[in-house]
Amino acid sequence: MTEHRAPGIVRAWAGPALLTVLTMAGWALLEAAADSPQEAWFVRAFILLGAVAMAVHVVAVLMPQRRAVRELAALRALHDEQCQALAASLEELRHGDLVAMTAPIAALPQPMQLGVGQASRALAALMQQIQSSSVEVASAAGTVQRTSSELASASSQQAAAVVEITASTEELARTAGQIAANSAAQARLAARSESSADTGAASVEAAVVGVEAVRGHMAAIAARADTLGARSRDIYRMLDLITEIAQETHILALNAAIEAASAGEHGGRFAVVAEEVRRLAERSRESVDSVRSHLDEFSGAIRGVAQATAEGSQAAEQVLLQSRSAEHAIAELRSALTETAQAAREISLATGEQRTASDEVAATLREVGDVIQRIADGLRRYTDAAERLNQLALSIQLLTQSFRIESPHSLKHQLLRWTERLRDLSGNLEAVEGALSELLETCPYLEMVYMVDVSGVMTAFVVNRELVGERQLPGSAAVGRSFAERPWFQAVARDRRSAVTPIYDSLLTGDPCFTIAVAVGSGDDTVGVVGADVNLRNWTKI
Amino acid sequence: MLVRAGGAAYALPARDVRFVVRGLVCHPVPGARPRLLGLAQYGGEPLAVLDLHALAEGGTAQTSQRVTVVLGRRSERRAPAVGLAVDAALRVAEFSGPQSPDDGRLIQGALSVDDETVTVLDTSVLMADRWRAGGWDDD
Repeated sequence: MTEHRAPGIVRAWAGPALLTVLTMAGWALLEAAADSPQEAWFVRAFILLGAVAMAVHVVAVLMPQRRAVRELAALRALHDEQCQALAASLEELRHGDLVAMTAPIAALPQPMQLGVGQASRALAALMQQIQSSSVEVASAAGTVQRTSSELASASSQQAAAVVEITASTEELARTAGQIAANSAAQARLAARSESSADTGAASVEAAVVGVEAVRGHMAAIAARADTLGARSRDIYRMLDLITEIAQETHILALNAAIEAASAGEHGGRFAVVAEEVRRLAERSRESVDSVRSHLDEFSGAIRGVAQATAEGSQAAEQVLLQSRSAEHAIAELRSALTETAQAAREISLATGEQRTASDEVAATLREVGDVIQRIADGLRRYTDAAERLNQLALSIQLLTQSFRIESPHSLKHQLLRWTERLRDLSGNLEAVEGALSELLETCPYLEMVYMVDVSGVMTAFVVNRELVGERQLPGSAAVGRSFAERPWFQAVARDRRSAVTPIYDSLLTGDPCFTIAVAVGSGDDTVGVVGADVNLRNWTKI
Repeated sequence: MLVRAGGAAYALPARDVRFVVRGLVCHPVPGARPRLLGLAQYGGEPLAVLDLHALAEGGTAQTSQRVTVVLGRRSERRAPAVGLAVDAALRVAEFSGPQSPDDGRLIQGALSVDDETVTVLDTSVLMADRWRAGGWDDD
C-alpha cells in the first residue's frame, strides 16, 4: 500500500508544484523585464493570480483528490475482504461442503450473501434430489434386475419346457404315423380275417354236422354195448349154472368114488368111471373158469366200450355245443372284424390327420421356442442393463456423498455432527464406543465405525453384527493398530477435511463398500479421525 | 380122499367117508368150542359139523364150509356121523403112506402128493367111544 501511495502523492502534489515553479519563473522573468510601475503592477497581479490559482488548485483539486484516494483505499480493503470470503466460500464449495460454504459469506454484501446462499441451497437441493433420484433409480433398477432375472429364468425354463413339448409333439407325430400305418395294416388284416372267418364259419358248420353224425353213431354203439352187456350177464348166469352142475358132478363123482372104494375090488371099474366123471367135471369147471375169464375180459371191454361211448357221446355233445358256440362266436367275430376293419380305417385316417396337425404344432412350438429363447436373451441383457443402471446409481450416490449438505442423507454431514459429540468425549474411550454404537444404530448400513487418534492409531471401534454376523474380525480391526498409512487418514490429516475412498471389498463381509473419514475437531484442536465403512449392498438405506 | 381146508391139504381115509355134500346149512351152537361150527340136518338127523383145519391145526375155524364131508362107519349104518367142513373135496386116490396105528391120534403123519405136503389124518378117532362119550380131548 505504501508503494502504491508514494507515486500518488507525487502525482497529487505535482500540479501545485509545477504551478508554483511556473509562477515563480514568470514572476522572475516579469520582474526582470518590468520597467514601469504599470508593468510592476502587472507583475504583482501575475503573482497574485498565481497564488490564487495555487489556492484554488489545492482547494478544488488536491483536497478532493486526497479524500477520494482515502475512500478508494477503504473500498479496496473491503473488496479484498469480500474476495477472501468469497474465495473461502468457493474453497468450501470446491471440497463439496455446501454447509461450510455459507459461513464465510457473512462478509459479503447482502445481495451477494443472498446469491451465494441461494446458490448453496439450490446446490444442496439438487444434491438431495440427485441422491433420492439415485436411490429410486437403484431401487427401480434392482426391481427391474430381479424381475428380469426371474423372467429370464422363467423364460429359460419355458424354453426348455417348449423344447420338451416340441420333442414330445414330434414323438406324438411319429407315434401317430406309426399308429396310422398299424391301423392300415390292421384294416388289411381285418379284411383277411373276415375272409378267414367266413371259411372258419363254413368249417364249423361242417364240423357241427359231422359231430351230430358222430353223436348218432355213438348212440348206436352205446345201444349195442348195452345189448352185449345184457348178453354177457346171460352168459354169466349160464356159466354159473354150468359151474354149479360141474360142482355137483364133482361131488357126485367123489361120492361115487367113495362108494367104489367101499366096494373094494368090485368097485374098481366104477371108481374109474367116477374118476373120469370127476375129471370131466373138473375140466368143465376149468373150461367154465376159462370162459368166465374171457367173458370177464369181454365184459370189461364192453363196459369200457360203453363207458367210452358214453364219454364219446358226452364229448360229442360238448363238441357240438362248443361247435355251435364257435359258430356263433365266429359270426360275432366276423361282425366284430368288420367293425374293426372299419374302425381301423377310421383310426388310420384320423391318426394321419393327427400326424399332420402334430407336425404343424411341432413347427409352431419350435418357433415359439425360438421366440422364448430370444426373449430370455433379451431379458438377460435387460438384467445386465439393470445391473449397470444400479452401478451407475451407486456411482451417482457416491458422487453426491462427496458433497456435504445439511441433510440426514449426507454421510459427511452425519459424521461431522457425530464428531462434534466425539470431540467432547475425547479421552473417554467407553463414552466414545457408546457414541459409535449409537451411530451404528442410527446408520444400519455401516459395517463398522472406528476412531483413530491424530497419529493414526485406532482407539475405539464398533462392529455392526447385524451385517457382519458372527464372522471373525480381521487382524486390522483391533485397538492399537496403526492406520497412518491408509489413504483416507492421510487425506484427512493433510486437508483436515472429510474424505471418501473408492469402492473396495470389505474384509468383514466380502461385500463392496467404501470408507468415509471425518476429522474430529478442527485445526490445531483436531483430536482424531472417525472412519465409517459403508456396506454398498445396503446403501439404498442411506 | 384128498381135501383142502384153510389152505392146507389133508388125506382122509375113504372108508370113514359116508358121503360128500355141498351147501349143507350149519346152525351154530352157543358156547361151543371154535372147531365146532354147529349142527346141520343130514338125512333127517342132526349132524355135528367140525372145522377140519381148526381140528387139525388148532385155532379158529378158517374153512369156507362149501363142502362137508360126512364121516361115519359104513359097517354101522345107524352109527352117529360127524361132518367135516372143508374148502374143497379134491379126489379119491390110493397112497402108500403111514398106516393108522390106532393110537388115538388124529394126525398120523404127512406125505408128498404132486409136490405138496398132505397131512394124513385118522378120522376114526372122531368116531371113537371116547369122542362120543365126552368129546375128543385136545390134550
